[in-house]
Amino acid sequence: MKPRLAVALALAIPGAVSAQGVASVQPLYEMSKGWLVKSAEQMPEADYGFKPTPQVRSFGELIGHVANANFMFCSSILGEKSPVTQDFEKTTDRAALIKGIKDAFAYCDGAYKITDARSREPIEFFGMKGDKLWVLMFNVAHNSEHYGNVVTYFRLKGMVPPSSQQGGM
Amino acid sequence: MKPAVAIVFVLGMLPRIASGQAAASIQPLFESNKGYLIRSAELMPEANYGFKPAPTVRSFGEIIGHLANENYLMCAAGKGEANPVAATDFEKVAVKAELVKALRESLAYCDDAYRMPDARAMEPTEIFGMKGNRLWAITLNLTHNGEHYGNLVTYLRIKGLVPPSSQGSSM
Repeated sequence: MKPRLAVALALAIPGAVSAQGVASVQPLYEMSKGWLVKSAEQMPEADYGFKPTPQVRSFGELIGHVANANFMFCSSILGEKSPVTQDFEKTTDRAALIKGIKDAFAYCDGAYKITDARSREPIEFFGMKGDKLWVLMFNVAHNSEHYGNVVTYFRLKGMVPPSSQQGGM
Repeated sequence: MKPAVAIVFVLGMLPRIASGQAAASIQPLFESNKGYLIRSAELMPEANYGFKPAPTVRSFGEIIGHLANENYLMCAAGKGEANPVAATDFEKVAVKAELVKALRESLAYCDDAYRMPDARAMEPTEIFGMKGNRLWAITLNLTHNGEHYGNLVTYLRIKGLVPPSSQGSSM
């Protein structure tokens, strides 16, 4: 965890200063996407059922939850019906969960390419009103929070999480 | 952790309607996370501020101190000001009351950054020599806070405590 900030900053550089709100959040989305996919790949199948305490999601349930949430958030942003009906939180097979989270992010990629004009369109999300930029940011914040859970699960298993594998800070 | 999404929806996500400003899209998310962080710092007993689930990671108190440091650093970049506490490292502070105060003050310092108009949000800024706009700087602040809140949730659970985002809902 300690070197994470350095790595976060190294990976979260926007391509260039842009007048678009979407361009401000997209590199942060890409960063947490990379960490979450690598996390799913790094955790051995035997530890997919690991949970640090009985009240919380297992590692595999977290990956499934993130897959579900990305389909939900991004279908809302894109104004589409979610292309999946599967509840990935109920999936226990590691390979299926890795595919699920990769598919969810591939689907979300399109949402982070909307124009700035479209990002200011109003949206209703779970009965609350905002604009699409709000949901784009909410999705990244949600992904980041669960990545923060995943980091601690890795450390409890004696592993180094993806965000701490590069920087020496 | 399980009810986190439901509660985040309820507490966090009521943006001011149609302000047309990009920072206003992120401000309710910042507010929601701010509340969770402060309540976490208050909830953890002082005796557990030194707790770390593995020897390789920050203790609970070190995470709170780290968040105080980074709120000042990132929001100074968001606001276009020099970091007002650049000489202080709150990660070295061990007293709970001081850490709670530092966290609160750092988040209060950030408040203005989340209210800037678009003209300001699209201005260039730098964090650690990397360039982006001010909106990017505060979005990084939010996701960084969110990520470490995700750590705190697990620390609290390991200590048998229910994290703030999971209090008050049965979903």
